[in-house]
Amino acid sequence: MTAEPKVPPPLARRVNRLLALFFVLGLVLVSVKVALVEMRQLKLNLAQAMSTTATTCSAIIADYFTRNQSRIRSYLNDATARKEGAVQHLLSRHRHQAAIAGDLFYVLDQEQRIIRISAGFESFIGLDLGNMPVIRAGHPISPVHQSMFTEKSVITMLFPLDNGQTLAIEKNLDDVRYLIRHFRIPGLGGQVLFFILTGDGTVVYHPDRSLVESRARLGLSMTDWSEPDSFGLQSFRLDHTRYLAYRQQLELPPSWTFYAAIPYPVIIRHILRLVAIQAVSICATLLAMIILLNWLINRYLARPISDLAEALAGINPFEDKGPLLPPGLRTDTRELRQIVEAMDSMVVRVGEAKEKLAQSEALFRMVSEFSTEWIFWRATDGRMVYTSPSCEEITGYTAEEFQSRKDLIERIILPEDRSICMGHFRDHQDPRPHNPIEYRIRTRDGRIRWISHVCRGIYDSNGNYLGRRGSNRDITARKEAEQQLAMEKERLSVTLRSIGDGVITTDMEGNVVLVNRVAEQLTGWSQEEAAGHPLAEIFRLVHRDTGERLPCPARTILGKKQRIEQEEHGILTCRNGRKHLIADTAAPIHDQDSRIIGVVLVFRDITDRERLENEAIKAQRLESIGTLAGGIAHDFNNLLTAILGNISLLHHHLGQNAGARDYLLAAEQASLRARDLTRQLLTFSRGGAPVKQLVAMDRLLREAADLTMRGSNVRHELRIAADLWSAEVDPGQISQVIGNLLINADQAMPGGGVITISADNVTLADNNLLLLPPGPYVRIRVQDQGTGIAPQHLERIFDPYFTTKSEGNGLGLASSYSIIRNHKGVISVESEPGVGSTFTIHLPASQQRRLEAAQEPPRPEPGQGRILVMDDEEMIRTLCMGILTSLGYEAAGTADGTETLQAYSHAMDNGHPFAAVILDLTIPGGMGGRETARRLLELDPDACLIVSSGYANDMAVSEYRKFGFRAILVKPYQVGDVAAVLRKVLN
Amino acid sequence: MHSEPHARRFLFSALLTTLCLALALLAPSCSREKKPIRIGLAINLSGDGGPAAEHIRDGVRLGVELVNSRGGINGHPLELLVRDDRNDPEDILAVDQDLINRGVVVILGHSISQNTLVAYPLVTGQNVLLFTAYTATSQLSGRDDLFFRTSVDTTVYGRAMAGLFRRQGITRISALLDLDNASFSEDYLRQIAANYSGAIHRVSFHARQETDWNRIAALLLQADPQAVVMLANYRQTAIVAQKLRQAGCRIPFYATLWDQSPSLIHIGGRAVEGIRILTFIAPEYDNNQYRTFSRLLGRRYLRQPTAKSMRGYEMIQILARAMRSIPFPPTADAIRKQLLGDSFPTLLGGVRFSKDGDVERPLYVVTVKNGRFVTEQVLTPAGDPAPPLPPAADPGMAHDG
Repeated sequence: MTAEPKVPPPLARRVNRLLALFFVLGLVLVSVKVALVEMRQLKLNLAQAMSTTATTCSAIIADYFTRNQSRIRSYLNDATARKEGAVQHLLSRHRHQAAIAGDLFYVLDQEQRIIRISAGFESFIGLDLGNMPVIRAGHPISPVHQSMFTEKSVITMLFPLDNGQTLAIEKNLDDVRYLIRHFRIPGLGGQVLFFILTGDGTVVYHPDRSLVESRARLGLSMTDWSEPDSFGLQSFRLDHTRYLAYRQQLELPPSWTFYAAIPYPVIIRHILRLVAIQAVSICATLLAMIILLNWLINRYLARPISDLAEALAGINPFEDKGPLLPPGLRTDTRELRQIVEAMDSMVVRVGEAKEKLAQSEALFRMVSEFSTEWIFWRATDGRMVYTSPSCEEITGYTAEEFQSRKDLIERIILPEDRSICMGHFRDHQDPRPHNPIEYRIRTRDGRIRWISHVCRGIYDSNGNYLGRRGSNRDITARKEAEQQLAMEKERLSVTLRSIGDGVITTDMEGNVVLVNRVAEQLTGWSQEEAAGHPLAEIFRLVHRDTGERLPCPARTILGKKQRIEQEEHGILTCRNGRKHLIADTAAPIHDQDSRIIGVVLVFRDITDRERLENEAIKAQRLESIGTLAGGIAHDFNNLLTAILGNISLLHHHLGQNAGARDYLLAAEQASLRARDLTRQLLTFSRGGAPVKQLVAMDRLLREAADLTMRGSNVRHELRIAADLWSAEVDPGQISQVIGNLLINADQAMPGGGVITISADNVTLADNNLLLLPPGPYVRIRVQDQGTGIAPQHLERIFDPYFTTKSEGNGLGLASSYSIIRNHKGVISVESEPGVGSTFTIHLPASQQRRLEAAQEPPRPEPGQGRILVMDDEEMIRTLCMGILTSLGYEAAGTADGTETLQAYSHAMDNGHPFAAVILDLTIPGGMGGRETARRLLELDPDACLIVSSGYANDMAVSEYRKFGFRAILVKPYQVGDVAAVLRKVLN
Repeated sequence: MHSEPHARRFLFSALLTTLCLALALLAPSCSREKKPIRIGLAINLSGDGGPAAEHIRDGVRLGVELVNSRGGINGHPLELLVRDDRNDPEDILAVDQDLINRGVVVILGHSISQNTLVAYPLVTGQNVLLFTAYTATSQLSGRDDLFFRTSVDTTVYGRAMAGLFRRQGITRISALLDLDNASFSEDYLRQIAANYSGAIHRVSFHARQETDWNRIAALLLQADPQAVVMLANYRQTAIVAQKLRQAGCRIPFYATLWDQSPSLIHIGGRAVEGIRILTFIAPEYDNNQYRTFSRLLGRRYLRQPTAKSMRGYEMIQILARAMRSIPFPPTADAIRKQLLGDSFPTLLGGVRFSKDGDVERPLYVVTVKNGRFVTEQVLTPAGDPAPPLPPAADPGMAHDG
């Protein structure tokens, strides 16, 4: 919707408006000028009148004081005064009454005491006035002050007398008022105010008498003084009113100043009155002149032009043929006549031009309407001057529709493309070249079409810009093909970047074309950096064992022209120096004609995979060794039980026989060492299932470290997280592991140093490299500064009996490895020769997290009773019964579970029940300890059962309470062990 | 054929344009300044004691100038109308009525108790606040009305003066009373008598009548007093002091706040050396407000601070603070409520009004030493000697810093 162009007003109205404006401006300017002139004249008159008044007042007041002073001085100085006394002489009525008759006077002696005073004030005689400011200052004429005698506003005149006395005469300010009260400053209706102030602003004379009587300090309220103008007048502000003023200092007293002032509002009112009177006549004159001018312009200019315009409006130069103007048209000036003739001539020429134009247009239509492109001409106002018919083929809209709706060309553009086009089309008034653009439109039937648009400016023969010539081409088919291609390319790119293997493609020269994300990470080269570089520069591969450079796969492929797969995995060195063990394959890329156009190289990092494989192999090896060791250890343990038990029993029976005791002790020590060895073997062979309990790991670590490192010359540091989680572990086994690691570290630092034991909390994610289930773990690190472990030894460090130390048995780390695995954790080692080693343990954290150390149960009191021993090994059964008897118990033995049940049942029936039953866990070919316990408890729920075993592989040992046992007696055992267990369960 | 409508249109356009221009020219002349708040000052400038009132006028005027220079009362300037009551009852009523007619919301005045008593019913009866620092009579104490004062009343002075006599061992006093200000002098003496067990010899006179000062002096000495109490203005006190000293009298003189004016020393000279004045105004203060006041008074009015100018300035400080907290236009009732509900830091220290519009302030015994007023003793509001105090916090710091 376009606004109607504004129609300019008729000439006559415009002339009227201008004349009215001239009238007002003229009136205002003349009035202002008059006001300024009047103001100047008023100021001149006021300044003269004020100055004259000031001068007159000054002369009168000066004369008043001079005359008074001189007369009094002359009287005081004449011979009679000397003779009669000065004051008496002044007061002599017949000669000098007028001199001081109306004033109060007093005479002060040399000490400033009143010795004489005017009549009526005699009671003041004797007063000392020496401290009064007017007396102390001693000025001939004092400042204005209130008389302490009369309470009037006065000035005091002092006259020194010959005898050292002083005559003081108080002059009432009313005298001054009397002198000048009749003065009036002419002009402004007598509203000019004048007054006299002293130097400190005190009023001496003012028409308002109260100001004089109250000694008002009017001068202090007169502010904002301006500089004097050319007439000597100034302005000031007093009580929110501005005054025009004249001031002049008086001759005498010298500090007094004459002021004449008039409020500005009074002046302005006066000036406005004068201007108003003159403005009436000025207004009338101006009005007459302007009305005359208005008539002349209308008669000779505005009206003929108006008639001519009306006549021209009725002519159609393309239809009519001249002369066309009406003969009655008023053309009484030469210029108007010439205009009329020129218009007639123009109509003829327009007709001729019209024919030429029709021919040209036909030619143009022929060219444009046979074009497949949609051509248009858009005027500077956005209107379509011309649209070729092909627009209908492209858009479905006709040329007439585009010409009648000038925004249609924008409306059919898709909303998401309008931002591109709007800037372009909105600039149709801009004659500068526009860049071609491409956008989409929605056709009348709703289809989407792509348009390529170019345009350029159209100029007339004089170079005037007339709008833009636009050409729209339907490029939908081309765009769809481009989109297909782009989608294909994008899909390929996404695929390449998404796969988990590294992919690099090269051209025929072996230069890199594409690098996917994984390849970027493994090589350290980004796509942008690598593109164009030779593959050998990016993909630096060496042999994993020899370190020799492997040939570039691209060259090999381009040489052999077939796929290759590397059998040997190579080491790829990343740009940042990191090395990856990789497996790679390479293949040629063929074009549609099966010609090789490049090489594709696919590779993956197998470093972690290889490590996992090594771990699995190691675990399998350790497990098989453990099975073997466990079998041996089990049998060996039973033998040791008999040996150790009997030695301890013999030792118990021999008493203090010193000679035999030494031999027994030696045999016992050897057996104990054998027991420890067996236990370690059992532990390693998974025979020692941990007896778990919730343990505060920080305390356990501290105690283990303190116990192990006592007496060592190596310092140890504990760095344990304050919020370290707890874990369900066998505290004895974990302490053993920590001890083993610390002993190892200690021995690795013969020259001393620091062992750092640190512990913190970690949460492992899925697929972690430790191959542990995800979840919370306690991580323990033991780090030494020792000699380190040679790389070739690292692989075997956890093997049993593998040791590099002359005094080691090679079971410490093996059993530690086993213990940690039994706790469902992992132990690993990192080492660098000459720098030190770090052992890292991950143990599952408890859901109960942190736990304070459990309290130890109270020590039980020893007791007596009958004890039943079940063991298939007779020598052990006999041994155990011997130990029990030596401890004061009544012992009975059975070989399997059936016998045990019978014996227990029989004893209960006889009223001599067993206080406790010691059950061997494993009875080959018979009822074992677990089943026997279950049935005993059925028989007697309060039965006190003790399990006896050499290793804790069975759950009945590691979790004996679940199976009804009260305690465990670990083989091999001695007298003290049996006594302790029985004391515990029987109390 | 178009001339008539065109001519009419032309005339209409010309008149309309002229009117617009005239309005445009007149518009700036309309005042954009906020409406002022008018307050009146009615004091005795031309009667007996007029020079002392000049100090009141200058102190009040300086206070107003300072308030206006700092933006007035929330943008509204204070306009001070000064009137001379001529120390005459008829003039007092005339000037107060004139001030009320001119729209003042507060009248500051008058300069003595007797005149304030005359003005009281007229002013407060027309809902205008009467605010003074120069009226001590107890006849206006304890009234819940539109009268406020910054001066303590005669009951406080009487008790304190009697205490002074007791501590000095004075058992016989002569008192000089100006009966033209009987509401002060008689009231003051009555309060002394109520707290004093010694003998009191009264000598009275009328200041507005001719007085024989020699006779007055003789009457004062007739009872052989140990001290003379001057219940008169500075001029009368100074003259009587001179007469008494000329008569050979050497007993101590006691005077009131009424006499605390430089003119007492100018007229009295050596005769008033050592005179003791019981007052609530110290000769000078150690705070920023006082220093500002002193500096500006000297620069602008060529005067030293006096007890009268300080009190005048303080009244404006209090009024300005109270009026800043209430909406425009201020009314007497609104100011009254604000005065009762606030405390006011001033150059004389803090002031807080009781519900009756009276104040409680410390007292000073000020004496004349080498022609200057000096503080001899500080008394508590109860009239007892005050213990020495640490330097007080400066109440004016926030305002004048």
